[in-house]
Amino acid sequence: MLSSNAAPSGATTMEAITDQPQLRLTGVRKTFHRDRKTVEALRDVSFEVPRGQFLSALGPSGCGKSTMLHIIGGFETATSGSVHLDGKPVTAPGRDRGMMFQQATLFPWKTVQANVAWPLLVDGWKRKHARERARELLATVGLSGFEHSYPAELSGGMRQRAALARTLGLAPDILLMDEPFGALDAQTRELMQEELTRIWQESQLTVIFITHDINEAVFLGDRVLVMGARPGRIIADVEIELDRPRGAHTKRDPKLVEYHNEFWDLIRQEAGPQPSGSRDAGETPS
Amino acid sequence: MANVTFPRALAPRNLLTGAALRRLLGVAALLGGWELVARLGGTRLTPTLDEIAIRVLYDIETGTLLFHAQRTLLLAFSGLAIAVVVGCAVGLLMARSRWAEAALQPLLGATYPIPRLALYPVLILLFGLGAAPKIVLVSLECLYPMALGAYVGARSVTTTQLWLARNVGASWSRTLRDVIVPAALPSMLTGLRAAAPVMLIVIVVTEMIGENRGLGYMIMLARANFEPDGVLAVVAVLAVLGFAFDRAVVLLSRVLVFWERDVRL
Ligand SMILES: Nc1ncnc2c1ncn2[C@@H]1O[C@H](COP(=O)(O)OP(=O)(O)OP(=O)(O)O)[C@@H](O)[C@H]1O
Ligand SMILES: [Mg+2]
Repeated sequence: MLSSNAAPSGATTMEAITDQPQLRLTGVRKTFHRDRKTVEALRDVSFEVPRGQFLSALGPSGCGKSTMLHIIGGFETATSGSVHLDGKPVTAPGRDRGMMFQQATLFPWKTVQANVAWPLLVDGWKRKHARERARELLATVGLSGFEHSYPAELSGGMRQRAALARTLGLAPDILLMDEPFGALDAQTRELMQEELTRIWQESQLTVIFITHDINEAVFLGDRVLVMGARPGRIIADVEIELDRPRGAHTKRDPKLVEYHNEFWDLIRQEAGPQPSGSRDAGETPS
Repeated sequence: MANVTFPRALAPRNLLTGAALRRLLGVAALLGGWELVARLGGTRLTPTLDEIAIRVLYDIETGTLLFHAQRTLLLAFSGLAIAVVVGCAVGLLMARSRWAEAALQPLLGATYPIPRLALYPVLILLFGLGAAPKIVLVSLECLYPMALGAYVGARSVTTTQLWLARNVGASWSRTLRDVIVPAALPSMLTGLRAAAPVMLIVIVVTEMIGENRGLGYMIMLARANFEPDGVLAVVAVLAVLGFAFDRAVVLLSRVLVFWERDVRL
């Protein structure tokens, strides 16, 4: 089931001929210099993402997942290599790529509604229309009734919903999500995963979703990139053959467990001989 | 996912009033000590509290206090206003521009320890004898806390917040207005809180030097007439003003930076 890097599977070959991939990374390298030390955050990262795909990227902490997303988003520039979006090189951030950062970025001085409406106002929308659109977006993520709350009054999950609503408001072509559910408790996280699946299916957006949770990556993704650390690079690129629509039943699918074990083995090999964590047992669905 | 409600502060009332009483303890001890000294070993130099209070009322009745206080406050707030505008601009610029930071930080650092009051004669030569040199000196002194507050505040803006603004396509000025200034506001108000007493000190001192109006002049006049109660009456008024300004800034902070309710000034 594990194929090597960027080998297009049979199903996508036809498309690739008629339609170029929406996003293409070619030999992306990124090194950071700090205090005379050099960190190679990414080495030779190349992959393509067809339009509409839900791509999960999985990897241990510090393997360069955020860095990769920041480069795609145009916030950081690659040391070498290139990123092309619809055939055009990425040089700066743009509303075509909606970024949900790993850190919370809701403005604490704005209400939830004002936070969601802000990108629209920046875009020149009329106040009234921006407000209406913000309400719609909040309804999409299940936050109706909290329009006038401040972020400090919301739970972690609700804040991430609000951030998602704000990002969707940009009407992006690609959603870049950096461990958006990382700080949530297990139950909230599962609910959010199901909701994201629903929203993605309705919108048909392209999504690049970063996580270090194997089940999350498999449950959400059409395809999973597995990354290794030091230097950060792609060690596997796998199509996930789980039926859609996915839901609570998918989590009991034995195929999910298979994927989980495979990925876990891969990551364990990559990490070398280390005391095995409780993840394997703890996160395998019963 | 459930509706989160925050319980209001559940502290019992008597605890709150207890805290309020404790806050007054230091002031009460100071006043009590003074009264004790004045009554037991007092001379004309140490008027009792009621003598000072009577003098304050007298100065209010005759209208002198209002006349002089108006002048003092007008100059003081003019100077502060300039300091707020220039200080915030300098602080924000320093925080967001490497060039400005490199150029301005050594300048501010080097001029900060200079006793700027020593410049007052020079300012008089430059600006004449009127209100101008006083206003300039007040704004010079208040500039430092304001610039520092704005600088620290604007530095607290995270990279991700700025990246978000770029993702959204916000212009530089829009980012300043909607992201940087709100984020810097709490720290700016801390600067304002530090600047308010400085403002009072500087204006009164300048008025004590060759002036015929203002609270500082009132002090010098009472001293010349050998009226310690007159001096202390003005000091008491200044203390009340200083306290009132401080409370006003705290109140302002509560209103303006409502989202940082947990931060106590
Ligand atoms: N601005 C920076 N300066 C120096 N080093 C950096 C910088 N940003 C990231 N790094 C380094 O690059 C590597 C990859 O960082 P990155 O944040 O992309 O990891 P990550 O996979 O997102 O980790 P996590 O799962 O913990 O979020 C790390 O070793 C990190 O220390
Ligand atoms: Mg990260």
